[in-house]
Amino acid sequence: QRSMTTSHPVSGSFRVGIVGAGPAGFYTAKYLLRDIEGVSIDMFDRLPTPYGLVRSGVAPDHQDVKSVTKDFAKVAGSPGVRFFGNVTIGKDVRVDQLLKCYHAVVMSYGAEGERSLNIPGEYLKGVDSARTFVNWYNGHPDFQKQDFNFDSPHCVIIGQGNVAVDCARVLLESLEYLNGTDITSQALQRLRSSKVECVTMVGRRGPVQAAFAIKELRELTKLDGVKTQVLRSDLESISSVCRDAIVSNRSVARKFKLIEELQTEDIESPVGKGPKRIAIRFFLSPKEFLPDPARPDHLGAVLFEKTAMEGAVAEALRAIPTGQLVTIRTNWVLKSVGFKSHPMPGLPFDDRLAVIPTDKGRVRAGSQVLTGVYASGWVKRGPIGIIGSNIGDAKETVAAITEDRQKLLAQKPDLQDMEALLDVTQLRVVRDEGWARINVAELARGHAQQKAREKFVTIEDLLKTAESR
Amino acid sequence: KEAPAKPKKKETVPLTFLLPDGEEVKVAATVGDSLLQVAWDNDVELEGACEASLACSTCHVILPEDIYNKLPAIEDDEQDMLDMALGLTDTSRLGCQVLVAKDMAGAKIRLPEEVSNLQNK
Ligand SMILES: Cc1cc2nc3c(=O)[nH]c(=O)nc-3n(C[C@H](O)[C@H](O)[C@H](O)COP(=O)(O)OP(=O)(O)OC[C@H]3O[C@@H](n4cnc5c(N)ncnc54)[C@H](O)[C@@H]3O)c2cc1C
Ligand code: FES
Repeated sequence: QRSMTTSHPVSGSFRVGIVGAGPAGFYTAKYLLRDIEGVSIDMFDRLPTPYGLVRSGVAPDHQDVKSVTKDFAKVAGSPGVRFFGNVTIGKDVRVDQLLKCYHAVVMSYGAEGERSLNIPGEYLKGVDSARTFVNWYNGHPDFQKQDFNFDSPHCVIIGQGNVAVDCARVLLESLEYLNGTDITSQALQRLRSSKVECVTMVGRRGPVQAAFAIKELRELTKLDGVKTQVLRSDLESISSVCRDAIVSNRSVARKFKLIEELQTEDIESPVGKGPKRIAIRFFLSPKEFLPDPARPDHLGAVLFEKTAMEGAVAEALRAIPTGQLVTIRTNWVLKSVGFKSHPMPGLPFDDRLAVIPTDKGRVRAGSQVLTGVYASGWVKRGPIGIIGSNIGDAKETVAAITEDRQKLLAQKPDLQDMEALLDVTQLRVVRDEGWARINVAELARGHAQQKAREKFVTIEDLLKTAESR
Repeated sequence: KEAPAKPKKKETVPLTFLLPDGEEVKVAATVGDSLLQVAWDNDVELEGACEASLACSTCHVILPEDIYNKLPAIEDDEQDMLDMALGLTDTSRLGCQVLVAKDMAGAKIRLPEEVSNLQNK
C-alpha cells in the first residue's frame, strides 16, 4: 500500500497544477496519471487537509461513501504527485503565478458559496444554512464558531435535496450510531442536548420533482424510533402531467411509490409526545421568516405560499404560486437551497450559472479558449451530482489536456519552480508528510474513543500537528 | 497470516467486457467473483469508489437480457443506488453485486458511457 508520506522530485516532464483537492481534483489527477506518462502533478488546497466535501460534506453516518479516500490516497502516493495544503489560490498564490509554474492548471475548487432565498427575515436568529450545519458537524475549520438553536423542538428544512435529507437524519438519528463515526465530539455533545424531536422538510415543487434520491429517502424511513410522514392532501394536488411522468420514468415511479407508502391523513402536531418525526411537505414556497413575538430578533414561524405545478410537458413544469398562505411555527430553519461557486480572481466566470465557463473542460472567455487553463468538478458543471459524477467530468477535462499537451510543452519551454515561489511566501504549507501526520493523529484520537476518526477542527491545531515531529 | 490454501484450480468462464469506446476485452472470469473484481483483475477500467459497499454506483454495468433475467431478483438497496447511476438501462446492475456464474459463459458485459448528455457537446 502506497502512502502519501514520500515527496517526489519534480522531473522536467509535463507539469500540471490542480487547484482544490476534492473528488474532482483527485479524479483529474488519476486520469492524468493514466494518460500522460511521466506527468508531474501538484495539488493545492486552501485547507491543510485533502478530500474536499468527502471530508466536510458527506454525512458522518455515510462512512462507506468515504471509502473513496483510499483510492484518492493511492493517487496522492503515486510518483510525481505532490500535495500543497493551506495554500489559497487567488489569495496566497495568484493564477498568473501558477501559470508560470505549470504547463496546465486545473480549477477544481468546488462550490463554497450558497444560493440565497432573498425573502424578508433571513437575518433572524434561528435562520441558518444547511451548508453551515454540515460543515460544522463535519469539523470544517471555518464553521466551528457556529451555534444552532438546538433548543427548538421543531426544525424546518427548506429544500429537499440530499443535503437536506442528511441534515434531517443527523438531527434525529440515534447518537449511539453517530458516536462511532467521524462526527466531531463537539457536534456530538451539542446533539446530545438537542431538543429537536420533529423535522419538517419542505419543497417548492411536488413529489415527482423531489430532489432527494430514493436511497436517501429510504434511509429516513429506516431510522430507529423515527416516523417519516407525507401529508395525503399534498399528494392529491399532483397534476395529470406529473402523473404521466411517474408512469414513464422507472426511477421516478419507484421513488413515488415509496413516498405514497408514507402518506397519512394528518401530520401529527410537530411537537409533543410520541416518537420523533420527519414530515415531508410539498408545494410550499417560502415567502417570509416571521419573528417570534416573545423575542423579536428570533425566528418564530415561516410563512409559505402554496404552489401548483404548471406546464404542458413534464420537463418544463414550473411551480406557480396560488395565493394560499400557510404558516409553519418553528424557532429553527435550515436553508438548503443549493450551493454555488465563487469566481477565481483573474479567470472568467459565468455569473448566471455560477461556474467557470468551459469548452469540454478548457476554460474560455466568451468563445475564446484560454491557453493552459482547465476546470473540473462542481466549479465546472455546477453543484450537482454524486462523487461518481465527477469521473466522466474529469475524464473529459483530461482528454482536453492530453490533446493540448504537445502545444503547451512547446509554448512553455521554461517553467518556474513552485517550491521556490512558496518558499518566499512565508505560508505554513502542509506537504504530504504533514497531512500524513494529521491523518495518523486523527485516526489515533478516534481509536481512543472508538470512533472512526476524531478530526482537528482549527487551522492552528491542524498546522501544529502537520508540523510536529 | 493464514496458512496458504491448498492450490485448488479455480473454475473460470470466458466473459467479454465491452468498453464505452467499442473496444472488447476478453477475460477468464473466476466463478464466484464479482464482476467488479473480475474487471479489476483484468485491468478493465471500472471504478468501485465505495469498495463494494453499495454506496456509490460507480461500478454500474449493463448485462445481456438473458443473463439479467437469470440472476436472482435485484434487492431494493441495489436498485436504489442504481437509480442514481448515469445512463440507467433495463438490464443495469452494480458490478460489485453480481457474482460470476457458470451459465454466464460467453456473455458480453457492457460498461456505460459516463459522460452525461450535458457534456456531450
Ligand atoms: C453535504 C453534502 C453531502 C454529500 N454527500 C454525498 C454522498 O453521500 N455521496 C456522494 O456520492 N456524493 C455526496 N456529495 C457530493 C460530493 O461531495 C460532490 O460531488 C463532490 O465533492 C464535488 O467535488 P469537487 O472536487 O468539485 O468539490 P469539493 O469536494 O468541494 O472540493 C473542492 C476543494 O477545493 C478546495 N478549495 C476551495 N477554494 C480553494 C482555493 N481558492 N484554493 C485552493 N483550494 C480551494 C476546498 O477546500 C476543497 O477541498 C455530497 C455533497 C454535499 C455538499
Ligand atoms: S463499488 Fe460502490 S456500489 Fe459497487
